[in-house]
Amino acid sequence: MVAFLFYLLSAVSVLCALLVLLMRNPVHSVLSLIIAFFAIAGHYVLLNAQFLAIVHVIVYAGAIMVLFLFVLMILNLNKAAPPYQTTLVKVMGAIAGGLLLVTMVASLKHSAIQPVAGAEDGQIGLVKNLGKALFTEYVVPFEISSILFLAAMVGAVTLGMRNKKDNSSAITHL
Amino acid sequence: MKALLIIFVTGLLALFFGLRTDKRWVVQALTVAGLIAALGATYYDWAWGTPFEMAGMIHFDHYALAFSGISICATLLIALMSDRSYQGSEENYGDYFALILFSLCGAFCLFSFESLIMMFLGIEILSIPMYALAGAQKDRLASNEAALKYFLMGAFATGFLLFGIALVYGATASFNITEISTAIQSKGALMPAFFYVGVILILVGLSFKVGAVPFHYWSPDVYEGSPNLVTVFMSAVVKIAAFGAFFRLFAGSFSGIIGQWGPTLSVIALLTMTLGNVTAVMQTNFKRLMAYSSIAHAGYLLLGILSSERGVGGVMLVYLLSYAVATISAFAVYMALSKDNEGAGIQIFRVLSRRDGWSAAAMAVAMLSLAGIPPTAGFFGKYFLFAEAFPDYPLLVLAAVLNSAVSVYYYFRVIIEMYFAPVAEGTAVAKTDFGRNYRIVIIAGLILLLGMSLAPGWLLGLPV
Repeated sequence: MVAFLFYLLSAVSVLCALLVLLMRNPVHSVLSLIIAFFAIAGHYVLLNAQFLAIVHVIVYAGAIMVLFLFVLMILNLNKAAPPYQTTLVKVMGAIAGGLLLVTMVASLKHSAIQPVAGAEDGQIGLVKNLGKALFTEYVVPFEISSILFLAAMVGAVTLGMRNKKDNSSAITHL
Repeated sequence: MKALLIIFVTGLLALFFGLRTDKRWVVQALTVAGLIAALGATYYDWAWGTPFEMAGMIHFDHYALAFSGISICATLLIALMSDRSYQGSEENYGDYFALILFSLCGAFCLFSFESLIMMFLGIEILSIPMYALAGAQKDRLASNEAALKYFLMGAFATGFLLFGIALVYGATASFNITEISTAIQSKGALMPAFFYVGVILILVGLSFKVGAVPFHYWSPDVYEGSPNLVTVFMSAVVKIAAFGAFFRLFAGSFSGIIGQWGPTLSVIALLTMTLGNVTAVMQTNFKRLMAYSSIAHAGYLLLGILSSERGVGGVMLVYLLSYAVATISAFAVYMALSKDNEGAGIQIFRVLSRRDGWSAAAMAVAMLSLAGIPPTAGFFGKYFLFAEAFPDYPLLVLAAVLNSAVSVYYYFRVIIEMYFAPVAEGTAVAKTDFGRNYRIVIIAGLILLLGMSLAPGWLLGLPV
């Protein structure tokens, strides 16, 4: 049952990830991305990591994708985007991506994947264990990441804030 | 760790002071004071303190402290000269200083990480303020373009880096660089093949950050489009940080399997120095010239990564310090001369020797140092680096020496423009008005460049 679900979710997430790239209409791309995120959240549930699954759904499938859709709607981008890549760029991209794919498949084909120590009992993803790990072993990266978020916030506000001097350049540019 | 906390708190204070006051010198003085305090704390840790260590995550050893020290020095010089840049956007002054300081915090993580998680966090903390700062001039199209380009390319490179880290974790079950190194030794040939794919993907991600060819396409446009001050920070501090992390990771955990990534990196190094130098010859815009020059220097520095088994941390330190000081010094002269952030050709330096003798001398020393001409600091950096790399990579070092010869051409074009440009007889040459802060930076750069050449052995002898 678990194996079946695993393959089903994997197939759905890969297919939707491909659709994100192949869809002409940006809104369809965003919708397939949401399905892909839900499939990945399903993987987390299979790994018994309920907390990660919930956070993934709330943050990615919820907040971020709604933001994406809002931006698309506000900027009125929900028309099919004109093709702007030349054939040369497409061929180059296909060759480069294909080489990476071949390398990955060749290297993974004969490799045995060993289980990670401590993950056998399936309890590692529970909220209690996650919290313990975050506040003991990983406390330094956990705290340091606050600098990252603060910097990102300040950067976003700085870019979004209007200069006091020229009030003329309002949102009319959009 | 003390330095990191001091810099972070200074960044927070800069944010609040920027809100409360319109006077830029308040924020600037605060930043400079914080940087000096952080430099003092770093020296204290180096000389007397017990290095901060959080087992398996972060360790401020002598390598980390030395690199932190030089990046604080570079930021200090940059903070001193932020005088005329950001014209038209003064009211966000505090935010820009805070972002620069936060970026420096990321650099500290990159010098001291023991775990790949900390390295990833460090790279993000270093880059994200830079994405915002590149677009700081909102009404200038080139600046917007630079921010968007840098952000998209940087996000893509981060994807490669994360993918690589995930594969390495899958093969070794550890993020710790020492444990990865132990796993490489104990498993030997039993290491699964995808581990090596992971190493190469990490290499690609870091090559992007240092601006190595073929992952360099963003850098000339971003350097040209960003405000001058941000361009200096990118080409000095961000470069030191990226190479600090590159060296720490590859010397610390992957030097045992140099057979797997050495050939790839050799080709990247050769392409980087050749393409950087050859393209720089054709540039007329000064900022683009410096961008290609920084690509060329990244090519030489990759020789240090290739020789990581030999413990060349001190050599990398000397090279990066001399490169950073020369770049900052050259930009200080350029920024004092150019009134706005629009790209200017090297004609801007015409007859500078008559307009302001001292800054012309400083510019000449900076150019000589970047080219690697003997009495300057840049020569010693190059000499030690090439000498260390020569036994293992004689052909690559030969190519590097030939490339240095090419670089003399475009660095000397600036010197010729300053000293030997023809002036019609009898024309009065107006003196240039250099701001006080620029003069401090220019003189400090001159002293550092010449002083380091007096004591390169002392710097090398530091137990890095």
